[in-house]
Amino acid sequence: MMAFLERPARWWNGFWFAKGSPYNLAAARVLFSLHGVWLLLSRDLPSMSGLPAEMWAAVSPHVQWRYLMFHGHPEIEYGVQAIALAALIAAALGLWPHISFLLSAVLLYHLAPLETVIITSEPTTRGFEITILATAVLSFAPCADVWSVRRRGSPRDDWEYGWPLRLLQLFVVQIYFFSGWAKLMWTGFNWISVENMRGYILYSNLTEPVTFTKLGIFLTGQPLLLWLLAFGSVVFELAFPAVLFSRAARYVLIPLGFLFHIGILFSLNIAFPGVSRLLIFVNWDCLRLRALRVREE
Amino acid sequence: MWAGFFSLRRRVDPYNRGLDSIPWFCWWRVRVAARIGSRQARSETSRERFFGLHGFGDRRDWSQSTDQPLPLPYVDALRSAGAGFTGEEHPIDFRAWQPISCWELRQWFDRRFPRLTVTQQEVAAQFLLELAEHGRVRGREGLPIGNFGRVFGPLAIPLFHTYRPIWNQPTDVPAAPFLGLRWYRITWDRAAWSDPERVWRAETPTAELHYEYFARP
Repeated sequence: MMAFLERPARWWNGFWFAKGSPYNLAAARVLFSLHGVWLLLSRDLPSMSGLPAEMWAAVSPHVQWRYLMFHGHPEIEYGVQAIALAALIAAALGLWPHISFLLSAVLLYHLAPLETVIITSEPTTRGFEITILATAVLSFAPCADVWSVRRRGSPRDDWEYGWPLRLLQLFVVQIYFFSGWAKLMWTGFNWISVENMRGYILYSNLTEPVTFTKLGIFLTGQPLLLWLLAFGSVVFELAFPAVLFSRAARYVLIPLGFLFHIGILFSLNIAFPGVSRLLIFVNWDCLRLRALRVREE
Repeated sequence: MWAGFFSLRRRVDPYNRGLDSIPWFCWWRVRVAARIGSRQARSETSRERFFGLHGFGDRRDWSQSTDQPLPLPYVDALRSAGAGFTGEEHPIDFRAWQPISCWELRQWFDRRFPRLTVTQQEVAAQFLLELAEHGRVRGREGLPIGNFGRVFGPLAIPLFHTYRPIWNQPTDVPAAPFLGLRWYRITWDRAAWSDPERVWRAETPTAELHYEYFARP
């Protein structure tokens, strides 16, 4: 029995404890913390606390306690946001990364639901979800050993830089994989149909004045293209976990991911704020070495 | 309120486990931090992975992860308009609703607003009217509408749905103040959607007044 389990166990450990690069982890540190700053300053979450009590009427007490967010305290929320921003900037610079990331995770966990609190308590649709998880993971990781304003102390084993990045990559992968999974689980193969795709495009383009309509108008009259897009989206999403295991898959699927979001933006008018997080699949260490080589030549 | 606190754990959304794990994760982080100096063992890292992997259950991360076919045979949406003294209507730029994003507001109006008492509805509507009017005045004066672009301007992360600004110049903005708000329910017959040409030509087949509010003098 133990021999039977030995191989998967070896694979499991090989996957999680493969050698990692401090530069790739540092790039993830900078990427996630700056993305958090960018998102916080592109919204006004504290103001949501100052909405009339009537707009908070449907927010249940358990949700308020769960996130420690209560109506009528925008000044406190502005203070909390300022601390979160300072923590994220400190993390980006590599200053006390364990504390600054942990503080960011806790404060973003509190702030994120404010954006959608009047309709739902799920802070999982507007860009902070992976950031919260990532900042919590990075609070454990040796992510400020390089590209940091503070120098690290003792040397570390390579595997210590590997598993945190793998975990962050897994978080990003699950966004795509579970999207494809849910399409088939909730709707079945009917999701891959011309009618469904046309319906989504028309709905996205008609219900509100939107920015981009040309591609949507063009696509609704192209049934074959609509079917291919629906089929291709599901295949792309279900195949996306391959980027965790295969370099070739990363070369194909990561650029395709950017194209995927550009297509969604121009046809459905949906902007995915987390698209920049695909950059954690880039081998920054390799690019750094190439840049050094070019400079030496 | 306390009853809500005590029922916290019982009522946690099972789909939201990834974020639920954050407080436990942080608690454990504090415990490990208390043992600074000892080299991290693999067993500890494994536990860390477990907490992180808890996020695996968070499959609602992606907005389309609950995608279902659009409801048949009708599709509807709410659309708002500001009304002046003589009752004439003007569409409202989506930025005027900030800090509330337009999509959230529409959902709130559809799902939560009907559950309020008449008095509560009027208070909320008055607030929204003030927001719209504030945006109108700023737009008319050539000032930025809404505050999401206060730091990064056009480089701010766009809203999930990319609405088109309709008040681009002061001349685009209605000159008369908004004294009331109207919300319409727009309905499309899905059968017509099989002919896209027809849909694009006739954008709003039916519009029914859903709610109307005028400020009391």
